[in-house]
Formats: sequence, structure tokens, C-alpha cells
Amino acid sequence: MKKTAIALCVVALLAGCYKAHDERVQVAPGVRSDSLGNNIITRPLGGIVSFVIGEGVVVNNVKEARTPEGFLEVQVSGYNQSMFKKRFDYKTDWLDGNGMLIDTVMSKWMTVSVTPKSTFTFKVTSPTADSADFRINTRIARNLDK
Amino acid sequence: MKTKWFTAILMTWALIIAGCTPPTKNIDTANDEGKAVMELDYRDFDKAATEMVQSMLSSGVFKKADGNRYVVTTAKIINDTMQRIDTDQLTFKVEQDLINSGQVVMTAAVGGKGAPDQMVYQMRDLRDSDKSDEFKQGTMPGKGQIIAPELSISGKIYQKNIRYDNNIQQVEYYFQLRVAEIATGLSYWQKEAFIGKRGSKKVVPW
Repeated sequence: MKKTAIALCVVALLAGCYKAHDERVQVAPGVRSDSLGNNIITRPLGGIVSFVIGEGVVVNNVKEARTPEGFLEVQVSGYNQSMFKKRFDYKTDWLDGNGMLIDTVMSKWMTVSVTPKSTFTFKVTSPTADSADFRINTRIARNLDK
Repeated sequence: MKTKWFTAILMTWALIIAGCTPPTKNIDTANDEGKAVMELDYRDFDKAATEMVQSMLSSGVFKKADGNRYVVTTAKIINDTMQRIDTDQLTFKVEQDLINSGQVVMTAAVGGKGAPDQMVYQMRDLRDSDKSDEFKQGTMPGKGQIIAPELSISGKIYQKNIRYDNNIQQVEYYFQLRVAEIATGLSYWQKEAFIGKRGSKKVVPW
């Protein structure tokens, strides 16, 4: 009982020492101070687990807005859950009010590179003010330097 | 007998060589996963053009106060690379999307490489020649009809070669474009798109 109480007090003390930082600043593993769950010993293990379970990128926010000129802007935000750098290409197809595809030079594969355990954001702009909807496809990026 | 054997071996060898030649294939441009090359290829021009057009359209530089469309010309785009590039590979794509955006009209009468469409002046030469009588006069272009451009797109593509290490070279390509108002000389938009490549130093990037 005594030991449990002491252990709980230590945990409470350590929790009190933790200073929450602004979430807008991403401090990467290896940059920030190590912790019990993230240090030189557990990081490689974490990497193996991440690789085995196939962690990747998740898209968690898509925002749309119109510029003053009427062009549709789409901002895609996401998070790389993996312990490894993830690189992917995306291509945007733009559709008009009737759902018809708009022909544009801008429907080309563009590359995004995301560091491990980090957020990413990219933005695309429609080619005309008639654009009403969009479709974004992704693929694994190849032919990139390490 | 020996001649027959020699002929048979020669024919077999020729067939093997012909069979080893890689077959010609069309590029899957919709989903090209071919390897990168040290020179600029169509994928690089596509990426650069996409970046430029996105930036131009989202900046609002082509929004005219009276709601009309700007008349735009493409001025000189300097090729400062080691490659024989037709800079139209970049500007044609940019112009295409600018026209389709509905914000600008491109002029075919004035350009950095001369008139993009020489017919604008050929018809005027014909009008002023003695062959003019052959044409229905009402259909000939009159004087003072060409609309002068208001904005100009100019820029440069340049290349930098860097020795990365003993075996690898790094080639950097910079695409720079600027939009300026011709009447005042003021520049209202500019952007640089970068494409970098690393590869064997044995490959010559031109």
C-alpha cells in the first residue's frame, strides 16, 4: 500500500513537471527530449512495429474556400503516423457544376514529402471560377532522392 | 559445311541481338512512373507550369478593377541552361490555363519571339499589296484594330551543376517568371519554381 502510494505520488509529480507546448509547433523525435516511450532504445522498436503494421498518412482535414476572383481553393491537411518519411504524389481533377471534368494543365502529379510523425498541408487552386467540385488521387512517389 | 555452320551461327546471333533490343512503347502520361532523367523532361515542365499557374491564379494579379480581361503577352523567356529547350514548353502550358481561366486574353500579335501568329501581319501585308483587290474588302483587317497588350510575362530558366561527391552530381533547375504591367513597368507577380536532380556524374545533363 505504501509503495503504491509512493509510486502514485512520483507519477503525479512527473505529470506536474510536463509542460504542454503549443500544438502548432511540431517537435520531432530526436529533436525533443527523450521520454520513457521515446528514446534511443524504444525508437528502433517503434520503427519496426510501425513498419510491420504499415502505418502511413491520414488526411484529417479538407478545407474549401473561394478566392475573391471566384477560384476554388482546397487545402488538405493530414498526419504521417509512420516512424518513417512518407512521400506521395497527388493529382487534382476539377469538376464543373455539371460534374464534368475541366481540362487543365494543373491536373498533374505533384509531390509531397512528410517527415515521421508530422503534419502536412498542401493547397490546390482551381483553373476556373466554374469549378464546383474536385477529386484528388494519390500514389506512392518514386524516383526521389533519400 | 563450315560455311553453313558459320551462316547458322551468324543468323542465330543476329536474331538474339534483335530480340534483346528493347521494344518501343508509348509513355503512360497519365501515370508515368518512369525513372527520372538528369535533363528536363515533360514531367518537369508540367510541374513547373502547374506551380506557376496556381500561384498566378490564387494571387489575384489578373483581377481587373473594371471586371474586364487583361490583354497579356509572353515576352522573352531566356533559356540559360545547357540544353536546347524551346521555352514554349513552359509558356504554352501557362498561357493555355490563363486563357481558360477567363481572366486574361493572350495576344497573338506581339511576343518575345515575334508575333506568335504571323498571319496577323501577313494579312496586313496582303491588304497593303496589289493583291488586295482579290479579297472582299470588308473582310480585310482594318488599320488600328490590333489591341496592345497590357501585361507581359517574362522570365528565365537556368541551370546550375554542382559536384555532390566523387560519384554524384547535383543539377539544379530554376524556373523564374514575372508579370509586369507594360505601361508602368511595375512588376505585380513573380515566382520561382525549383527542380533538383542528383545522379551519376558520368551522365551529361545536356
